[in-house]
Amino acid sequence: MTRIETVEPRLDELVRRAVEGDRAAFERLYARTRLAVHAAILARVAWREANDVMQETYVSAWLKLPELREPAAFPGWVLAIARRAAGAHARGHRERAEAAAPPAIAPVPTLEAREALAAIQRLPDAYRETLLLRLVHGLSGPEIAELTGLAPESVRVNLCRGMKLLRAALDGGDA
Amino acid sequence: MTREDEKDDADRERYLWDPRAEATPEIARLEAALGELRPAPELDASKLPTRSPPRARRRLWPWLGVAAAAAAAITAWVAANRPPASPDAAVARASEAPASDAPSAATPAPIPSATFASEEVPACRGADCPAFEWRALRGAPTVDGKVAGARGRLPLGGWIETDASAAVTLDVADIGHVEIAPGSRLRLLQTDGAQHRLALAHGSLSAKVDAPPRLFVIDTPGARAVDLGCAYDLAVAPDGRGLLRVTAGAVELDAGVRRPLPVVVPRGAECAIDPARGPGTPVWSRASVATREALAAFDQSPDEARTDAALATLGERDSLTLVHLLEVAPASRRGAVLDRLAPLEPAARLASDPKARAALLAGERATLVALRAAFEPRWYASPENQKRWH
Repeated sequence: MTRIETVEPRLDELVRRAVEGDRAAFERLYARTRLAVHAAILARVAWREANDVMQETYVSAWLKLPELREPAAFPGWVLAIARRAAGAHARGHRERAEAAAPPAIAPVPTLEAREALAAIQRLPDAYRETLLLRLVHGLSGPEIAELTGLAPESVRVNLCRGMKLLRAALDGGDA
Repeated sequence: MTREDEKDDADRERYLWDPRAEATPEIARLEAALGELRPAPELDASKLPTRSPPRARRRLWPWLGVAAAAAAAITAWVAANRPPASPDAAVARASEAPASDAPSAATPAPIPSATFASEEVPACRGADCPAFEWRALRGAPTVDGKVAGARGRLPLGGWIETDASAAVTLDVADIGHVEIAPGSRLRLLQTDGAQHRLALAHGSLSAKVDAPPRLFVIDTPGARAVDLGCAYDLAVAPDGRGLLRVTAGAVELDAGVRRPLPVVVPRGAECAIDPARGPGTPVWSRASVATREALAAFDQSPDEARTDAALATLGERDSLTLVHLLEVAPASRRGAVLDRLAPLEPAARLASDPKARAALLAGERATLVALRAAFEPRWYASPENQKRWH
């Protein structure tokens, strides 16, 4: 049987292809970055709005991709788009009148999940996304470092400090 | 902390780092709960919209006014807060003549060619060099000694300088930008996947960065400013003294071995930097003149009298300053600083534990780190909460 080996294209090559209109290349970019982007969004918006903001982020990234000067900077760039979109979404949510909550299109998470997420969202910025990548997506420290571009030591510090603050918050502490 | 506590901590850290390690019940329970939030939607790329033809980018320059105002305010601050010539005069807050080591306006101190990191970065030439793009807001900067036009590239190792009539905005890769005020000199030291690093030899700037923490760094003669995701103003006088003021997020000031821990400056706070002594004690920007004077004297020489003078100006809403004071106060006065912190809830648990208290009085690093972690939610709280805490 012939073994067909596929080599994943480099990130900058995928970006170049996506700029030229290759949607399959953009899907690969999405696959590489979606966990970090999901964590960045979940750190800032209500759980039921995260998927909408994900969609908004990647549509925006697709449309603005020709403006990206350094293809290799795509992960940080799309994360920045995600954080801005999430921040704007969160501000808009506070300003809108609290109408009846839209019907959930996904199963409602348990109370424990919602409380844990709320506690994480009240933590300092530095810890939220790293903790969500670990606790929601089950990534290891080295995987988080590679995905986010953080130094492994920074990831370790963020995980440990963030977890201590989260425990204090869930135990009825300061946060 | 008991041995069992230490083991539990080690097990938690191990499992946090490696999900294949033996699970700790508490973290496993959180994973099970939060795992319900896991599904990140799939992307159907066929439904992506068609791109329109590119339009001309319109940039707003909201930071020019901020940079100019920050430069004026920070310059005035540096001039008004020169270190006192006589130690006793600082404690008694007597008026005094200007410090004899004040820099002369006629003959500015030599511009340091080395940065805080004391390394030399070879200048890169050629179109393929890593570089930051810049655009003049007014006037024309010089790049590597040559007058440049309205826009250009600052290559790795290159210097960009503004005179009294020029101001520039510099793109920091795709993670933010730096507005460089008139009278400034800046160098690009590093730009790659690991870090983006500048050196501010003198002048002032406003930085706005949206990136993971520690990706963006600015070296000054006295300290390294490490971005933790934020916006801030930074100024360095010709003699190397500086001031950092944070307007969003937080910045860490790393002074190498001169302090047990880096200084943390959150939103709404500021910190002076001395080229020889490194960062001083951070203080909320709303602090009184009396507090600032007392802390400036303490930072110059942290002895018992100056510690007491600083403590006399601090209250329960000054935990940021008190925690940093504790880290460098003389051993004989640490108890006094800790007693001022003890009534504040996060410290009470530590201060009431005899072993933890002894460790804090001894300046043990791990316990100082724990004390900081206990207070950080206060310092990083939302703007609404910050009014409650400080």
